[in-house]
Amino acid sequence: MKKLLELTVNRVQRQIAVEPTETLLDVLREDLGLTGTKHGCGEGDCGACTVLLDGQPVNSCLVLALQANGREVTTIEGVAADHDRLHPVQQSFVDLGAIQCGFCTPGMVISAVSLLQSNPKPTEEEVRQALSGNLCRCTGYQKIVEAVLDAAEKMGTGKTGNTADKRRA
Amino acid sequence: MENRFRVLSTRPPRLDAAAKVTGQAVYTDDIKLPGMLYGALVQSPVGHARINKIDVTKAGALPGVEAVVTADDAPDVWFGVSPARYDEKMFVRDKVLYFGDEIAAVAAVDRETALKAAELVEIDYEELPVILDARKALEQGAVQIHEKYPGNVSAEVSQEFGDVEAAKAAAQVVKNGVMENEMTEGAFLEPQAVVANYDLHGNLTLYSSTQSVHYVQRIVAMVLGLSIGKVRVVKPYVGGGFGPKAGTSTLELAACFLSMKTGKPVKMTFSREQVFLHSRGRHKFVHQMEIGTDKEGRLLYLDHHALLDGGAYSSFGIATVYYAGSLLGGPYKLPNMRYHGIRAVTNKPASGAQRGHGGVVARALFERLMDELAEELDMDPMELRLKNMMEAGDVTCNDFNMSSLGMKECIEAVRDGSNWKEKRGNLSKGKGIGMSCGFFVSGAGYPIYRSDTFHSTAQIKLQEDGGTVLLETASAEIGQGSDTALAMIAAEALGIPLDAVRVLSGDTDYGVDLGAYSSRQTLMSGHAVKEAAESVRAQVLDVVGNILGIPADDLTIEDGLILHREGRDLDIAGLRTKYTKEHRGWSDNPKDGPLTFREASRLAFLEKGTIVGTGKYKPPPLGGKYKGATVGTSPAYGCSAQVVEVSVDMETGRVSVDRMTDAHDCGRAINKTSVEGQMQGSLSMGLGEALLEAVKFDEKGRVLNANLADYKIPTSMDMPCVNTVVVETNEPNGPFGAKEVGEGAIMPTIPAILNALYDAIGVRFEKVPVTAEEVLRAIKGEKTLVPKLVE
Amino acid sequence: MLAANFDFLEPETLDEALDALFENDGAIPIAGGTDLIRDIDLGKKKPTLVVSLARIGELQGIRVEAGEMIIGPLTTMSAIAKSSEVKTRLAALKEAASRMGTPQVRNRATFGGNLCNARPAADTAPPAIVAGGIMELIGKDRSKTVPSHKFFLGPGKTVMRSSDLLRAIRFPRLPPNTGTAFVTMTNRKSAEITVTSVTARITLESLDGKIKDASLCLGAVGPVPLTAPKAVSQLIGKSPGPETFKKAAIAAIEDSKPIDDFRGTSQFRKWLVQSLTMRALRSAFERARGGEF
Repeated sequence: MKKLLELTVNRVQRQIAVEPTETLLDVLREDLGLTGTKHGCGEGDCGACTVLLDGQPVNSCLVLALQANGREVTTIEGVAADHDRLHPVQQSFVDLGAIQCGFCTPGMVISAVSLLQSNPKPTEEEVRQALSGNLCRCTGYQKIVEAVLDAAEKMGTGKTGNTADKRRA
Repeated sequence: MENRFRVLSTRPPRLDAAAKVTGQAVYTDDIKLPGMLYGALVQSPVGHARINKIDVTKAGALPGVEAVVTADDAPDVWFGVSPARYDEKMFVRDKVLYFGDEIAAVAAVDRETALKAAELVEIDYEELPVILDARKALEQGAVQIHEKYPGNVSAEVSQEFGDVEAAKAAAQVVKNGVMENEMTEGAFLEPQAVVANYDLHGNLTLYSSTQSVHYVQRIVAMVLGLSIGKVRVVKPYVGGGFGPKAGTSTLELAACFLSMKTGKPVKMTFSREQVFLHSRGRHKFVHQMEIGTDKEGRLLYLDHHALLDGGAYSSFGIATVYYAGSLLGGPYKLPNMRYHGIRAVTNKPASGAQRGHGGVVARALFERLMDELAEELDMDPMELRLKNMMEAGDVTCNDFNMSSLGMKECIEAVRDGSNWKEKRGNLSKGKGIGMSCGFFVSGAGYPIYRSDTFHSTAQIKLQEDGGTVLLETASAEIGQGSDTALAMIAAEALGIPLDAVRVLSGDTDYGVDLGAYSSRQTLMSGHAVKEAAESVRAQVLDVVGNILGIPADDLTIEDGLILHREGRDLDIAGLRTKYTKEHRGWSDNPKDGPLTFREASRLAFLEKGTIVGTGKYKPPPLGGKYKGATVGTSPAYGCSAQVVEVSVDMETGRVSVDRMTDAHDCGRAINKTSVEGQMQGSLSMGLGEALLEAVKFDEKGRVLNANLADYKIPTSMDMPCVNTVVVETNEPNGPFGAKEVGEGAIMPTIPAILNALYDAIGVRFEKVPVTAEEVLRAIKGEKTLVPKLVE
Repeated sequence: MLAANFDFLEPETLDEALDALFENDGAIPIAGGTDLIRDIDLGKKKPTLVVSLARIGELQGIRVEAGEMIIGPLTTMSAIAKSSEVKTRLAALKEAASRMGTPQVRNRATFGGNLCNARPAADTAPPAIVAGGIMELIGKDRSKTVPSHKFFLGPGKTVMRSSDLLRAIRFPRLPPNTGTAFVTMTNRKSAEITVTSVTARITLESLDGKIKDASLCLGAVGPVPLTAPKAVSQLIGKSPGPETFKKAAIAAIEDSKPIDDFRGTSQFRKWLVQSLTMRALRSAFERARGGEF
C-alpha cells in the first residue's frame, strides 16, 4: 500500500505517495520526472544514479524511497545554485571535454561536487578515489579527472563567478 | 602544422555538453508517452532445450496485461545483420539456443505487472546437451545447435594472398604462437531501451538506443511487413554503444509488435542482466599464427588460423570472422598471407561487433610475435616495426589502400613521449615497458546488406530568417561526438561560425545513414555534410553575386561574412537596406561592415524560397575480387602506436598500468578534444580486456557475472593518465582530410600491455585477460593451459 | 520499483523495532540497505515487512565508555573510515571500512549490516574478530553478548534469530604495544568484492620485545572469516620479523579453506593468504612499534 513520502528535492519540499518497493531512483525518475539521474544497473555497481542524500553521494537505486523520508536530496538538476547557470564542476566538464555519451555524467558531477565540498583542493589521486564508484566506459576518465581538478582550481581562486549561461555553454 | 581552418582542428565544447551535464539530455528510457504500456520479455532459463509447450493463459489473465505474444502470433520471418546469415526470429518457437533466448513478450499497464506476467508464462522445456566451447561444438557427433548450421559452423573463411609455402621455405627467422581471449561485453552504461508507437494512421515510430537507425528501420519494416516509408526510427541520446547496439534486436521488434497489437505506445528496457544475456559484444577467439622474416627482419609471411566462438546466432559474426584475418594485412609490408577462420555456433549469447571489430585479439597475437621477433633479431621493437612499415599509398597483399599512413610519426611520437630509449631495458624487476601498433578502417567499404545505397546522405536547410542552418542527418551520435564533428564540418564548408549550425540527427526521417559502426561517421557522413554545405554556400553566393552583378566565384564566406575573394569592397548598401526594412523594430540588425551570412541567407530565401543543399556519399568500389574481399576495405585507415608501462605486484600478481603513451593518426583532426577522448576511451577498454574483463558461464550456459561488479571494466583508479598525441595527416579520401579514431586506437593496447608484462616478468602470456591470478601463476612457475584450436 | 511486495516501517525506538520483527514473520531489518535491496531485487530475499533502523538513535555513532570503543551498528563505513577513534584504536577496521565497495556504497553501508549479512568476504568482520569485538544482541525477550569470532556460522548465517537485532559492537581497549592491519586483494582497484583478505593483530611484550599475543583472521577463504590458529602459534613468543612472519604466513595457508569460484581459484587464494599474511603482519608490527593500534 502506498505511503506518504515527504522529502526535500533540490531545495523544494515534496510530498508523494509511494509504494514501499519503490527506490529513491524510481521516485526521482518516475514520480518527479527528474530523469537526469540515470538507471545504469539497479545494483549499486555503476554510479549512474548517484544523488546527494543529506549531502552525501549515494546510489539512489540502493535506497528505498521511504528511507529518504524527511531527508534532503540533490540531483543533477539541482547542483547549480542558479537555474540558468552551470555549477563550476559542470562548466569544467563542458569546457574540458569530460563528456561523451553523457550517461555517467550526472552521477560523475554529483560525486565531484561532493568531493570539492569536503576537499576543495584534492590531488589527482583523491579525485580518482572520489570517482571510483562512478563507472565510465567512454572517456577513460582522464578528461573527467582533469575537469574536476580544473573546477577545484577555479573555485579556489574564485574564478567561477561568471560561468557561462548554460544555454550557450 | 598551421591551422588554415576556421572551425576545424579546434576544441569547441560538444554541442550536447550542456544538455548532458545538466541532466536535460533525453535518452530513450527517459521518454514517456501518454497511455504508454510497459513490455517485458520471456527469456529462456536454460542453455539449450526443446520447447514442448508454451501456455500464456495465466499471464494473459493477470489484470493490467494487454497483450502476450509468442512465435505463434509474430511474423515468421528470419532476420539478423547480414542477409546471408539471417538466422533469428522475433521469438523462438520450438527450441531455445541459449540462456536468455527470447520466447515471448507481454505488455501491461506498468513494468511490475509486465514482469509478473512474464513470469506467469508457463513453458515446458526438454533440456538438450549444452555446448559452451567452440572446439567441442565442431567435434564429430556434436549435437547441432542451430537448424541452419550443420556441424555447428556458422561461417568459414579460407584465403591466401601471395605464396605462403614459398615464403616459408625462404624464411630465416620464424615465430609462432597462440592467443585466446574471453568473451567480452560492450558494457556501455545505458542498458538498451526502446519505445514503440504505432499510431492510428499506420505509422510506426520506434525510439531506440541504437547505433544505426537505418538498419533497424529496414529490419523492422521487413519483419513486421510494413512499408519502409511508414517506419520511422529515432535515436535519442545514446549512452554508449561500442558495437553491440548496431544490430536490430528482439527488444526492438517485440516493442513494435506489441504496440501494433495494443494500439498503444510500448516501452521496453533491458535490465543490466539482460544486457549481458543479449551480449553481441566481442567474440571469444583462439588465434594461431606463424610469421617469418628474412635475416634482416623483413616480414615474409603470416600463416594464420582462427576459431571464433559465435554463440547461438550470427549477429555481425560473418564480418567478424573475415575481419579477424583481413585486418592483419597492414600496417606492415606483408607480401604473403594465409588465413583460415571458422566461426562456431555454441549455446551462448551471440557475439557480434565490438570496438576494433574482429581485429583486436588477432592484433594482440601478431604484435606479441613482432616483439618476440625483435628480441630474437636483437632489434629495438620500434626499429623492427619501422623497418617493415608501409608508407602512404602502399596497398596490402589483400588489397587495402593505405591512402594516408602516419604510422612512422606515431611511433616517433610515442618513442619520444614515453622516454622509450631511456626506459627500455632499464626498469627494475616487476616493472616493464612495451609497445605496439595497429590500424583500423574509417568506415566499412560496403554496407552490411549488399546494396548500391549511399552510405550517408545529408540535407542542410537555411533558416528563412537567416543566419542559422539546420543540418539533417540520420547519423548516430552515440557519445563519440559525431553531431559536433559534423556541425564543425558544415560550419567550415559554409564559412560560418559553429554556433550558427543546428544539428538534427539520428532519425530515419532525415535520410539514409548507415550509422555509428566501423568508425564511419566522420569520414562518410562528413563527406555528405560537406557536399550539402558546399551546395548551400554556392546557392547563397549565387544569389548575392546576381544581385551585386559579380560572378559568384569571386565571392566567399568567411566567419559568417560575405567577402570578395580578393578583398575588394562590395557595395552592399542596397542589400542591407532591404534586410533592415524587413526587420523593423529589431535591435540587432547588422549596421556596419561586410554583408553577413544572416543577411545573405534571408535575401537568398526571398529570391529562391527555401534554400536546401543535399549531400551524399558512398565509397568508390574498393578492394580485390576474391571471396570476402569487401570486409576490411575502407576509403581510409587510421593508425596508432602505443607505449605502456606496467608494474607487477610480485606477491599478488596484480598489474598496475602506470603510464600509457598513445599517438593516433586520424587524418585531419576535426575536434581535437573529441579525438583525444576517443583515444583515451579506447585505451581504457583495451586495458579492461587485457587485464580484467571476461564473461563467465556456469556449465548450463548461464552468465555468472552479469553485473558491473563482477564483470570488471576499469574504474578511475585503474586507468592511468594517458599521454595523448594527435598525429595529423591529410587523408585524400576524407572530408577535409579526416579519418577514423574511434577504433584504431584500441588495436595496440592489449599487445602493448602484453609486451610490457613480458619486459616486467619475462612471461609471454597466451590468454587474456591476464588476471592477477594468471600473473601470479606465471610468477610461481606454474604451467597454464596453452590455448588450442582443436580439443 | 523492486519486483517484490513488502510493507515498510521506520520506528523511532528499539522496542518498536523489536516488536515489529518479533510479530511479523518475514520481517527483515534494513540498515543502509546496500546488500538487502540488491538481494530483494535479485529475488534472493523476499521480506513481507522491511523495518528501517535509521531513526533509532541508540544504534548510531561511535563512542568511548570506560576505555571501550562502542560502535553502533548503524554507523556507516564512511563514518568509520573518518573516525579518529577508530583510527587510533583499531586501524585495521579503518582500513577495511575505507576500501569496501565504492564511495557511494560506503556512505550507506553500515558496520552492523556488513556483520549481520555474514558474507564470507565481508571486510569489517575480520578486524572485529582480531580485536576481540563483542557483539551485543537484543531480541524482544532476551539480550546477550557474543564474541565476534563466534558470531558467524556460515555464509549468510549468524547466531542471531530473525527477530534479533545487533545493538552495539564493543571493543575492549587493546593492550599496549599492539598494532592491527587489514590487507585485501581485489583485481580491480575499486568497486570490487574482496578475493582474499588478511587481518592481523600483534601485541609485543615491549616496543622491541617478542610477540606476546597475536591474532589473524582470513577473509573470503572459508564459509566464515577464519581465525588462523596454526599461523598464530608460529607467532606467539617469537621475535617479530620477516622469518617469523614467513613461517606464520606459510602456516596460514593450512588454516585457510578456500574454494574455487569465478572470482578466483582456491590455489590463487592460498597464494594470496601467504602474501597478504606477510603484509598484514608487517604492517601490524610497524603499528605496534609506532604506538598506533
